Amino acid sequence: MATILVVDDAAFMRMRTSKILTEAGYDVVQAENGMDAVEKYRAKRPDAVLMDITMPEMDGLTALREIKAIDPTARVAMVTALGQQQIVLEAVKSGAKDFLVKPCEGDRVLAAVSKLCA
Amino acid sequence: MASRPGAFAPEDEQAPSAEEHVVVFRLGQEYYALDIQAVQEIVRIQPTTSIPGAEPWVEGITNLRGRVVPVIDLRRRCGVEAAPHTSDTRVVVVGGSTGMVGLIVDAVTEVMRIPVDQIEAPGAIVSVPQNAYLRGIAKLEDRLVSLMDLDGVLPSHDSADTEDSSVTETIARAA
Amino acid sequence: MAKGQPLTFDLDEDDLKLFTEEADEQLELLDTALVQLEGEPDPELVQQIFRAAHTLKGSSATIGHKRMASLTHAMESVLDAVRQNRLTPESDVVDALLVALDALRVLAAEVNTRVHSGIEPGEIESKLKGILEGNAAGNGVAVKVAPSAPATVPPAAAEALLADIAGGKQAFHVHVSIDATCELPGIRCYQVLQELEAIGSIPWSEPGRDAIESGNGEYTLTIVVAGLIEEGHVRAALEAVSDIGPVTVSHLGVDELAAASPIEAAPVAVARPRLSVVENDAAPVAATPDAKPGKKGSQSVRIDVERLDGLMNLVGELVIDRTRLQQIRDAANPVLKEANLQELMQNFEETTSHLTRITDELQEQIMRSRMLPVRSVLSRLPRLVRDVAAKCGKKVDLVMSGEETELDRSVIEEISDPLVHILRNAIDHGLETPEERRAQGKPETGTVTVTAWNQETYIYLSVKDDGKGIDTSTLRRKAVEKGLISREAAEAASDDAAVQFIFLPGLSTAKTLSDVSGRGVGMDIVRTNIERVNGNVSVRSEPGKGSEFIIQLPLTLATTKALMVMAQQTVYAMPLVSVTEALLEREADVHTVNGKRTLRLRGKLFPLIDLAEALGDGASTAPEGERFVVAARHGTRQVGFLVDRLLGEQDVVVKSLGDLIGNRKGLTGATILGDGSLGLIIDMPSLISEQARFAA
Repeated sequence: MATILVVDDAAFMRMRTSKILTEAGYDVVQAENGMDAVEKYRAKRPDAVLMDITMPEMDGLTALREIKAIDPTARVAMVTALGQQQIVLEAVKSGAKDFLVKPCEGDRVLAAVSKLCA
Repeated sequence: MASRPGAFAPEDEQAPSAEEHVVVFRLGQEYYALDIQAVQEIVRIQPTTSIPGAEPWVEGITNLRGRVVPVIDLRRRCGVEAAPHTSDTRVVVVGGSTGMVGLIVDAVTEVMRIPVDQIEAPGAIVSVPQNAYLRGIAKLEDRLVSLMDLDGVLPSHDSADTEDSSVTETIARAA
Repeated sequence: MAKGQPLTFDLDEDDLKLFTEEADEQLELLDTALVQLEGEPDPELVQQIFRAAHTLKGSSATIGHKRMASLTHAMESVLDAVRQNRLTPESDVVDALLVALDALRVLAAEVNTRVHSGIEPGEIESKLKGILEGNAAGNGVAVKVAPSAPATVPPAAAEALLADIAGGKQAFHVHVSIDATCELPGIRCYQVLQELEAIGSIPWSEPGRDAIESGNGEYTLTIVVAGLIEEGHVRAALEAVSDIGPVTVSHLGVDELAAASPIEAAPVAVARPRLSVVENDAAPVAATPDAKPGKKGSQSVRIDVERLDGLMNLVGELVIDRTRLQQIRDAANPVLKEANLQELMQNFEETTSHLTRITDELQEQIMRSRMLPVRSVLSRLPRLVRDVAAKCGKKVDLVMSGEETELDRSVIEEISDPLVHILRNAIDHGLETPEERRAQGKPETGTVTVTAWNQETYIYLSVKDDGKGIDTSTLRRKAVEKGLISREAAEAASDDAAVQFIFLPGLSTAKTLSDVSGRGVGMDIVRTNIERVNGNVSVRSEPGKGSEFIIQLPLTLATTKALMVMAQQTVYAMPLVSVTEALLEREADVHTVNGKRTLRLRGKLFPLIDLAEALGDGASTAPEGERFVVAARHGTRQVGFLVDRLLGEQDVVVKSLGDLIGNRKGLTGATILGDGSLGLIIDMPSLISEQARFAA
């Protein structure tokens, strides 16, 4: 089964998303900020990444760009709150494949992930 | 201090152990005990500001590290003759149903565990019609220790006037 | 399941907090926005409302609150129809949505109480469904399933395409709908453009490329793509994008393109207004708020109020330690000097003063972080005005300004009720009926203006109406009839003064009881509530023109500016909002009238009271003539207080006396003084009223 990297500084969102994915049979790796995400990506090479945008240390957009520099084929979906449309747009222009708007319902998370892994 | 449950818990939650963990203090010649769960801290007597028009047993309010805490003169509250403060005088700070309150006592003597089977209902030993402020009396080898009921000693301000006399009376007869 | 039964939800304590805060936010948004929905709503507003309902649906479904999810789903369907212009939000639609909102609020509260409220949204849902179906049937508007896009292309693009086709390429006209549940359709449009561009060229699209690239696409998108491709390539490319609804792909052949003659350009011309909007929207990206470079810098987190209160207390302790440290420094100074430890002394000095600055700054910052915009109260008003106006048969325009004005959250909690009461009064008693207004040559619709602003350490809220004004002759008569004031005083009072009678306890000017302004709850309660938090309320009125109530409140309840005085060895804080002046006893004009000490000040006579005695602490024993007089006012009542000493003005942190002592008459709380001891804060309104009454 595919491995998914879940990046979010808010532990609640991270746990919730991870739980949904684990229950659906995915392997999950968690990262709590952009810096952490880049390191975990380098080490684990996950099949897909769910990346929160607003995070301390390194934001999601920067992390996306760094990951894309390491692996141009990386499949990343941004996880966004409303009001971040321009950042999401930047992210898509920088190679993000998809986005999810918080709060993410379980079926939407799974749909997005299966699309990313397709 | 903050992590300790402030609520007054008369029943020991670990019931099977059948012991009460209490703080024992002295008031005149009598020994009293309070559930250790209700005691937040014990401090030396410190300056208080008196409240004009308050009940006579309210010594005033004091500043306990940034908190305004009412202080009660327990001697007066229990109808024991007034006495000057000594170097043994302490303020037992408790968390009752009306928030944090300081109780002035003559001395804090010890912290101990009393087996429940040594505790009797107050009426069994002291025959008084009302025992609003006591919930039991422990017969130890060398003395009697009265277990104080915090909510009886600290009435809410609405009922203060009505309960005041009865409690004083109770203790006066008991003494 | 029935009322009172326990409920369980799939969330823990932390989730609960998050859920509650989020739900409150969305409910508040709905409360404000739904009222503005009526008629021809702004598409942005509709979108906002839709999103709020959608968010609530999502979060309630996540925690397993089925009734709430199902109700929000029904609301969402109606809102979606409004959004797609399939349904006009007439007042019956808004009413149904407001009813649903009220139920929703109760359902959301169940998550906290974990008890079934008895609300079963089935009936409301069928009403919403009825609106949706009734409308579709009544207007004969069928729900569009697949967009019927005319395969038209502007002539210029058509010519270029003809050249492409001549070169062996295929061209497709692609019409894409984005799912209504997608929150950011603009991004999806961009992704569609991106995916199609990967397989061919895009000679034309609507909205245009610039708009799509700046994220301004909407829920439908038309694109022409040309390349060495088949229809399957186009469909596969679109599948890579999420949230894509119905898609039509039609092949553009030579015939279709040739038909795009200048005559065929007409449909495009019809679409012109839309295009021009798009051009406006395609303004430089930097102009949109989201793209502001500063935006990313100001991130925010939610903090529990209790935690802030805890911080506030800790700072309070720090302030006391700081003062102690200063005292220790003063005591240590001579010793250090004698021991020739000047350097150590200087170090001590510097550290202490640095600590002082930091502590003050810290206190200020925490105070600031407790501030909220007054919007959270004002946002409830449009709904209220709508309901009250409907009940009284009045027409009202509500104008609000100053919603950004910030004040402490504790004050926000206190002003809500008085404000609502005054506003109800303004509509119920202040404004005339449309007929009366017409007869007087006024516009039928009355205007109520609510304004908030800051000045120094106070916040002001004004509620102004353009109604009939307050009838002072009725007020005078009633005040005398009810024995609230003497006939002489009532007649002597100027009109401005007579209007203030409205605040007298036991006086109500309404001729009948109305459930709008509350039964028997008069303006005196409003005044009492406001004064309880050290505020003031005043009124101005002009017959035939209208009235204005102005509420003055301290920015925070946590601190108050006070005059510190000493009486019988106790330090008291007298809030400055009630103090008019202070003077030396020997310079005051004191008389004895009917055996009572009376003060003459600025042409007026009023009682002079010994503060300590009034509080029950015995008469002042300080030498006569060395004492001070503090003049204070509460409404129309004035009293002079005799105190032993004046200690100066100070910002005091208000602390409760605790439940055991309760609300002692004449005192509102205590405050920690510089030396760590406690001072008592005087409840000026109650003390002044009581003393003025005694003296009368």
